[in-house]
Amino acid sequence: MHSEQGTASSKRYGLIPLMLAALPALAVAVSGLNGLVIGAAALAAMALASLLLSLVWKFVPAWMRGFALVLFAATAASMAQMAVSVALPRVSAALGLYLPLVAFTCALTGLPDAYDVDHELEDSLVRAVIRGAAYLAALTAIGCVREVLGAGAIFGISLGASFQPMRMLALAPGGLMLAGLILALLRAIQPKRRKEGEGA
Amino acid sequence: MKFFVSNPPHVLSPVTTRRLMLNVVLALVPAAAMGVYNFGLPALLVLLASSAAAVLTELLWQACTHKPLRVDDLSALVTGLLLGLTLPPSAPLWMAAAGAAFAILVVKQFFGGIGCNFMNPALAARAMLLISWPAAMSGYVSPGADAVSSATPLAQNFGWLDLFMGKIPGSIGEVSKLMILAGLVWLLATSTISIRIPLSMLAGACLTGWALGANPLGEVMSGGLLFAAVFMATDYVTSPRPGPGQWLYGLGCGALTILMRHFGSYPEGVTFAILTMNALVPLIDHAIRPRIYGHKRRERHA
Amino acid sequence: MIDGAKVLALVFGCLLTDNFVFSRFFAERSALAENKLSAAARIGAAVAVIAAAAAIVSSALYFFVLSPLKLTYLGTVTAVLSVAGAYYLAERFLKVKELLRFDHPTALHALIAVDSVLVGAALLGAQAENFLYGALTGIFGALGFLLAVVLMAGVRERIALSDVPEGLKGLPISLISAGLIALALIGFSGFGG
Repeated sequence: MHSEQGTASSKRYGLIPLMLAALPALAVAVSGLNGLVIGAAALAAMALASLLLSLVWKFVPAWMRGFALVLFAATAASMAQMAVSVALPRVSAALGLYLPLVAFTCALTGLPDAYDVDHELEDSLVRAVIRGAAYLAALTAIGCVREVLGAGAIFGISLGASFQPMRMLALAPGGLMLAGLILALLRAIQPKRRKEGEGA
Repeated sequence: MKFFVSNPPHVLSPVTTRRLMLNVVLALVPAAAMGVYNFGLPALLVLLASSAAAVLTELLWQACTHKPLRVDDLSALVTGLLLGLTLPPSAPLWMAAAGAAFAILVVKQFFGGIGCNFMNPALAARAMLLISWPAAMSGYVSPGADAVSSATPLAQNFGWLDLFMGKIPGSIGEVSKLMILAGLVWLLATSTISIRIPLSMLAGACLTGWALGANPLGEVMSGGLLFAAVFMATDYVTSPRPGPGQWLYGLGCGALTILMRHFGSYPEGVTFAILTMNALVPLIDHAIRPRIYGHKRRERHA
Repeated sequence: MIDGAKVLALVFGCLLTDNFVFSRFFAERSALAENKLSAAARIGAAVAVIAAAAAIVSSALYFFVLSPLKLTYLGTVTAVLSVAGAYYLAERFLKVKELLRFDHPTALHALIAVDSVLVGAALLGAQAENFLYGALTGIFGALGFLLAVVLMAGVRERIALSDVPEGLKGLPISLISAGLIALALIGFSGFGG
């Protein structure tokens, strides 16, 4: 049963749908720190939303299900945003509305579909944390790459004056093109992982 | 089996890609020669770097993806040469090469190779270089032995003859309007391009310039407008189908160039203007259908 | 009170330089995955309308309700609720469900997850300087979004006839195309201001 659910799950819950849903994150993942913070916020929001949902789901009437999912995701995202704005105010200001946007979208994508939710609620928290962690890693990596190649620094530490960074990578066009390449890369390595029996 | 889809009428002719590209290369020779004459060895090296990188990238890609090696259709060479000619002579060689690689790999091959790209590879690479390394791309050097850095001629006043002959700072191939016109004559004489796009582009630029109160002739003579009108906007793959669509496209390119020059924060407008129009070409082709060969205009909708 | 130059800059910005799709990355299904121009125009228009409405409502709620009550930290939640509200209204009056090809009863959350422009526009509406700018950002941003959808659909129609390498087919090449169009639109920076 796990392997069957594995393939279906990876389509719905894998890293790729998550990255697609949170494409806007690439607008601000221009430095390692930004990527790290947004990834962490997304992870926190996903975990939180799953947790809240699992506590309350039994009490939600059927007609309110879609709305409830949205509400929980929004609440989780808000809380993540508030936490970051208190802990790291400058980063929070730099990220602007992308923090709540990405946190919300990730949380929402991570929440199980309204009809699957009865089977999958127990796994959902664990799954959310795993996927969130993968997303965090991916975003930090992307942020670092864009920072190194696009701005000539890493986590704020400059790499020397003689290195001429390719500034387009830190801007919108570079971000979009990079997104396309990364997606192609993920797709290329995905079937291999599925063969090994993992669903992530 | 792959069927080759194209617009009618279908006529068998001795025209091959290679022959067309060869004509373009020949048309570019005067401008390139003048550029090297004016700016010296650095210009020659830039041209060589971009051309070599373009051809090499295409060769490597086709080899690695097990496609037939079609580098001898000269299209990569043309792209590399065009890119090199739009660069300032002071451009670092590795940047020229990087731009050429980007043009061939991302803008052309990723989309399927020759005929499949929707954006002009050389211009897209130029834009990419412009926003990636703005300082290096804006270093305009005065021609002659003393390589003095100066601002683009768009910001200075020059005599008409200087503008025409090309003894002004600028990109390698864009400065000598006389040589560009020579190239235009060759392209028209060999029926490689039609006069529609260059004419409509210049018309659009002149009209917009006049409407904004600028000197239309001055606008045409400065910057990369003439070069782009003859060599960039006329690229078959990224311009609309022959017909009224091309007039619209040309007008748009010209008008946008002048608007961007006056209102945009980048010094040169023609690059982004043509790229924007490239993005609009599918829509233009959708909206404006050319007259079907053999049908009268009114019967087309029947 | 209304600064004309600022409004003009805002309009140009939302339409071209800070385009929702090409600059702000609010892009997903409608912008990147639509294949036919006519379908794309309709779907894009539907999403644009919902996004604009959501932005206006979100902006109104933020400036007229949350700010006076010092509850601004609820901004994200109200933004999302505005989207929900706008969607339900559209569903009622504009028959968008068939348009958006959703036959899932809880279509709302699927839509939001897949088209981040909705929540993005709403959040932008709440983050502007005042209600007017928020509403304008929503309206012109949505128009810019529609423009983006149409442009992308046109390019995708063309790509469908091309021989794109296997690994790049579909979304990757769409993203790269979007990147190239974003490159072109950078030329408009500075317009209107």
